Amino acid sequence: MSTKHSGAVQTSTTGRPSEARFANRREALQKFASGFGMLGLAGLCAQGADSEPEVSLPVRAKHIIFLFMSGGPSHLDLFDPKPSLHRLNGQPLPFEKPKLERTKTGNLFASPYRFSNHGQCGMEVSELFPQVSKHVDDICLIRSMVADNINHNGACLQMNTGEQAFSRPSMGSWLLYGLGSENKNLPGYVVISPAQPAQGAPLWSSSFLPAEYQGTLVSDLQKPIANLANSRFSPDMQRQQLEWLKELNSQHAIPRADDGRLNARIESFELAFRMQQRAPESFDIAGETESTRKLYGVDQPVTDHFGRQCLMARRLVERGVRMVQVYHTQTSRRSSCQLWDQHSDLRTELPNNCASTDQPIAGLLADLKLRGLLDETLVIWGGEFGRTPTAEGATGREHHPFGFSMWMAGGGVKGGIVHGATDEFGWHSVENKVHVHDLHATILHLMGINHEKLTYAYAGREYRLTDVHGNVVKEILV
Amino acid sequence: MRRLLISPHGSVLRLFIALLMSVPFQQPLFSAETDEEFFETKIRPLLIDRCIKCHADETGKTHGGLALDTRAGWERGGESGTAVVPGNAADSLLIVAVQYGEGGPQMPPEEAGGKLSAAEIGLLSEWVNRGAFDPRLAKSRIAGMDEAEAKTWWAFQPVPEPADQSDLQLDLLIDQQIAAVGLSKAPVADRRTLLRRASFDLTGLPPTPEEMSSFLNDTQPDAFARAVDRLLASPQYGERWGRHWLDLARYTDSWDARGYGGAGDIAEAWRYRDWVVSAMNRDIPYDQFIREQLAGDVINSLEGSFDPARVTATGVYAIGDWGNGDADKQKIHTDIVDDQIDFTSRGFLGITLACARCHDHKFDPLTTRDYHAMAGFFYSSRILENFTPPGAGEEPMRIDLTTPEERQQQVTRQQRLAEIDTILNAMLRPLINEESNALGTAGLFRLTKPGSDTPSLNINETDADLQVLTFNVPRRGIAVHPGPTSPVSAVWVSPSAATVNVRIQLSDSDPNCGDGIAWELRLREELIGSGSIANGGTEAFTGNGIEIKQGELLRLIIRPQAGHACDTTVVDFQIMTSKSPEAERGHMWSLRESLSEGKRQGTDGWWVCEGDGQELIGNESATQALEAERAALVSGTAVGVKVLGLAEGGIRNTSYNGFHDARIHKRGRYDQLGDAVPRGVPALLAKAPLNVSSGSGRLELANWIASPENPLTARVMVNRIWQQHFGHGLVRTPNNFGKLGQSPSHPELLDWLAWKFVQNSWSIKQLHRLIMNSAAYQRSSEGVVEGAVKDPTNLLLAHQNRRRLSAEELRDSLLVAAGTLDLTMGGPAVREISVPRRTLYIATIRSDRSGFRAMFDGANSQAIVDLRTDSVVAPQALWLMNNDFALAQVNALAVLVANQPGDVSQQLSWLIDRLFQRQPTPLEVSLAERVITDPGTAASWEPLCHVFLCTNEYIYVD
Repeated sequence: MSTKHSGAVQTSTTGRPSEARFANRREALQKFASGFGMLGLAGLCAQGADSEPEVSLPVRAKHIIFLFMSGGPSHLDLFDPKPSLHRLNGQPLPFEKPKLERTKTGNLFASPYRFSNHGQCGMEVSELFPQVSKHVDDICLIRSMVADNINHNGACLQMNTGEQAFSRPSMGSWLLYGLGSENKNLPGYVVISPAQPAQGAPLWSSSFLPAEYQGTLVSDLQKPIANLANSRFSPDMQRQQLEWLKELNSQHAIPRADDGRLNARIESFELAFRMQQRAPESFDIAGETESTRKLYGVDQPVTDHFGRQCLMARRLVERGVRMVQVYHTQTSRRSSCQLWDQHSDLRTELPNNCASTDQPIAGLLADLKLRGLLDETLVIWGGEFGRTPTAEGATGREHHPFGFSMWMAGGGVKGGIVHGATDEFGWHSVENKVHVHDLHATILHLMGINHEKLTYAYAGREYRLTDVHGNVVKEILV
Repeated sequence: MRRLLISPHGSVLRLFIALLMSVPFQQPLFSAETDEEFFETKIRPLLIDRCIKCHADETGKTHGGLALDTRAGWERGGESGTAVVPGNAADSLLIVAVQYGEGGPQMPPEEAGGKLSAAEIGLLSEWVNRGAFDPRLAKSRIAGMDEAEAKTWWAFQPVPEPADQSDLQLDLLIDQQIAAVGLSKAPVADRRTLLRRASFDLTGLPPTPEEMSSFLNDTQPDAFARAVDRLLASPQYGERWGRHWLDLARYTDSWDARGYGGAGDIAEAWRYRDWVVSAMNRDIPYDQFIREQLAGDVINSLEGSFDPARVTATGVYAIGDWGNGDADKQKIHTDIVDDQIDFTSRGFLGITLACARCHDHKFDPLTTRDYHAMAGFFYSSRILENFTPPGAGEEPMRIDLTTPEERQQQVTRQQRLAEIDTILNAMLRPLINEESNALGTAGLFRLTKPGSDTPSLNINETDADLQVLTFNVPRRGIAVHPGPTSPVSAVWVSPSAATVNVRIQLSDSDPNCGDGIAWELRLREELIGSGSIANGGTEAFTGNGIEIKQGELLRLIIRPQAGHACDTTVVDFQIMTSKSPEAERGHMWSLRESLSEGKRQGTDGWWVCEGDGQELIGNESATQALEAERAALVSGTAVGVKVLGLAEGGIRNTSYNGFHDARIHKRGRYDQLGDAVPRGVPALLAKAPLNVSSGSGRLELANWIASPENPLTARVMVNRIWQQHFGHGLVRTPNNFGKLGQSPSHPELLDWLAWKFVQNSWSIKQLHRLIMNSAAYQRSSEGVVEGAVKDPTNLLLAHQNRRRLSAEELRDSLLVAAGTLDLTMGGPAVREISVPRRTLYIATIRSDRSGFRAMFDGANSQAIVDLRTDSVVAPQALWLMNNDFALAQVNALAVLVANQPGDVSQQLSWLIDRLFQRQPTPLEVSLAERVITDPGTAASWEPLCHVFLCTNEYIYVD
């Protein structure tokens, strides 16, 4: 039976099974860990509490930026060229479609977009990503992704939590639980999304893990975090109030010296005050140079939104935020929870989406590299699934979890390689399949965590991000 | 037999074993080694070395379902079937796999060391061909537990009748264990602390200063017992304790903000919430509480007496978390049932049966068969009428609570109502029922008639547009809504004889609802103008030179169209004396301006009334009898009330339509079905098979759970109640009484409480009395020094546990401090946190965990929450420091203090009494003297009030 659960990482949880064992850890935590991010297992181990060495692996990446293209970007038009579709364009799929079908699609539909080879490695990428294509030598492209769910809600949930239907902790929450955050003045897991993607909060929920591990949503880029200021009391007055509060709390604590929570709460007000002063700067891109803003496409109408999101993401990982998820849910033209859901308009909306993200993503990769952050930051690009090789209506493609593409860069993955393949039509993943669980196992591995060892006891059993699945994709590791 | 098999010697015995195991006789012996020697020296080490790491029942790791650490393991085989066919290596899947044969798994895989050597494969083949001798017997197990352990597992034993049933036993059982480790007990808490503790524990609210002083002055020995009785009788008790149950019930008001209140949402969930609150307040016996939730509908049909509340109670099964929106309907169906099994087994029984969905429970004696036995009850019931087509979200079934007799009576009623309405409509009856912050919307002032939502006048008091339900009211604007059968009229009573011009602007403010309205403007009988606007439309009217006498009425009548009464119309109605068309104020009357500022009927001669008649009735008496008759007719029926809940029979357009046992879903997959399992309860716990005579069998299941003989039900519930009074349960894993749960700290006490609970007719309130009148409950929360070493987590309860206010208590008590708490009970949830209802009634949205409740460890409605977390994080401090809601309460409190008579020290005494029910300390006095420069102004008091509301004393209960 594993012992890495519950009480281990909460500031002051009452009534958890292992509380007695962790009484000292808790005590220790109460002294310094009442910020946003909290210390996770790693922080605890560093404190010399009973460690769980088997959890830890060599750390390749310290931070993650997950660029989530909500809606299901088409692998066939972006990263997985299929000459056969051109040969058989308009003809029926020459094999039986799987039973799990959302709506009936028609005949094979060749991509309207040209692919060409790029970089030293010669990776084939669509013309829709001219800027990203310049970075293929840093990119590890996986063309053999497999997921299980054919609808946005279930598929987004699986991509983020491993589970399709029920509430489970998100990957970012697991990472915070396992590793903690490096910056107590900031949330350890930030989700930047101007519009709500798919079903929203369950995608960054901590579920049964303690609430402090949930993602913090930034939807208003101008006012990223709530409750950081008020118009009634000046900072000087607030400082004064905190002094009075400390006086009153100290008096209250005199006959209650044995209760560490009281002190932890006093500390939490001090920390809150520091956060008020420091957090806004972390999110504020105003201090970035003109050339950096240009690199991300900020101030250009088409790329402004996503450029700002990516630039904010870089500022956050630079300051120690463990995971930033950047959802593409807004362009200069529209805002949607599923921008990349091209049931129709593959010829108009897909180019729009690419145009609004291409420069910002390329800029992010370039900037991270320039600052020496790419080695320790894992950048992930993808959506919840791909799209059918067959046409929906005249100009669309349906949802498609059976084979699709994602890529990663930096943080310990090999650049300039293509891993896995779909069949000649791009329907099934056939070579070196990478299931979502495998992707999760690999990401945890890169972050220095054995995915089978990071567990939490809940509702009668041990849970983990990969549940009972997942194999690390060793071929793509540096 | 077992003993014989274990004896490791004698060739006769081996032959006997071989016979038992049906070894084919034609196999020759391959070597001089005995089978046993061969196995022990060649095979056992090989299996241990290369296979068992991933394939062992003992460790629970059985990849592919296959265990190779016992004979039974390979006989049973994995997902692909029996692994070994004794005597036939070629047909044995194990051998095919180690040979890396085509089409099957290739074992061991690369990451486990890769393919075996040819020699090792040869040994395994030889072992199989010579009969697969294997002496490794499985311990007799029931799923994850040894049979012997399972049969003696503490939580599965009947609750014994205690020898001593006196109430004193509670403290004796606790004191024994404290004395055994030589701890001393904390003294009894002071009386002020006691009443604060009891008030928060039972009602979630602080005591009022008056309640405190009356308690402190009560010198009778039973003063505390009477205080407990008073709190138990308070309606706020049900709100507090209902919330504890709602945590378990994964209660939420909505699944997702995007579909809030729509057909695919659970907008009627609040009726279940109100049922729980009421059940707690009425103290219905816990066994009945269980039966009604699990089978209220079945009880109704059996008893032949229809009680709508019993149907409402089944709503708990319709609000679960199962990923609505999936295209895979069969998966949704299995997920719905899984949610229902999970709630039933953890919620009522404290066992984690849902762990046995895909495979037998890894730790507890619960099998996949047990899981599917229970699944049959829920597959034979439904919360959806039908599945929608792929791609569409599901719509929860709405159950109409009207009986056929009621429907008949309804016809008669409708006729009489129509008659009454005709008479009433001939008169103008001003709307007199006033409500601020109406419909859960801050700044919406609403006038209606008593006992009815329509007709209505809605006034936006704010400087921003308000979106309310389906309609929009512009800033400082007004909107009217006709009744279903009656028009609404905006009326102006002329103060003098005059010639006037009239300007009217009408616009439909809920374009997605209804079918528009018709309007008329009348002076006396005379029609001056009329028209109609379609849904979403607008219309303007101008009338000039209208001669009106003093006291005459000018009536703007707004009628519902034929099809629908759901239309709200924004009205701008201006009257100007015609001599000065650019009228300055005094010569112009504006309905909008007068009512949005004055908010009272009659302001500047304006009235908004029900009806279209000519006679304005200022008091109710003229129509009182008719109104009363009408109200009685309307309230005497539940027509139109629809609830979520369970109905008999499976979902209609599925193979489970009707009543069916469930088939085992191998590995949890609906496309790999095994045997059907008769509906029933976990085999180990079943005294006898459940006899499902007809229907789904839910009532039989409920009766089995809600039985004094059930070893779990009462123990689990008394533990939950105990937990809420002490911070911990006697079992610290309240949802799990199995192997991974914790054993009870006071087993005898747990049993004693369970026994008393059932003896007291499962009365929860009686249990509170028992617990709260004990010395253990009343102890001080100050720990004794040696306790920190001998009992650091206070398992033995030598002192009480200090606790932080829950999210609900925190917000409610801020409202109490500000004097703004609205104690209205029940009804649909309120969306805005600024509305001063109790937090129980502020809407929760399952997909949204961003609010203050999650921040303060409120229950996550995605989970069956038995114990809330208790975190101390900086965002909580930020919320108290900066959030608009918190600051609004600070301001309201400061206004109250500043308005208190007396000097600073008297004001401070009032403040401290209000917040903490005590006298100020010297520190507080000196602080106030330093800080309060202008005691008559709220601004001076605000910073200090804010600090008091942030203190540890305010948020912790000793």
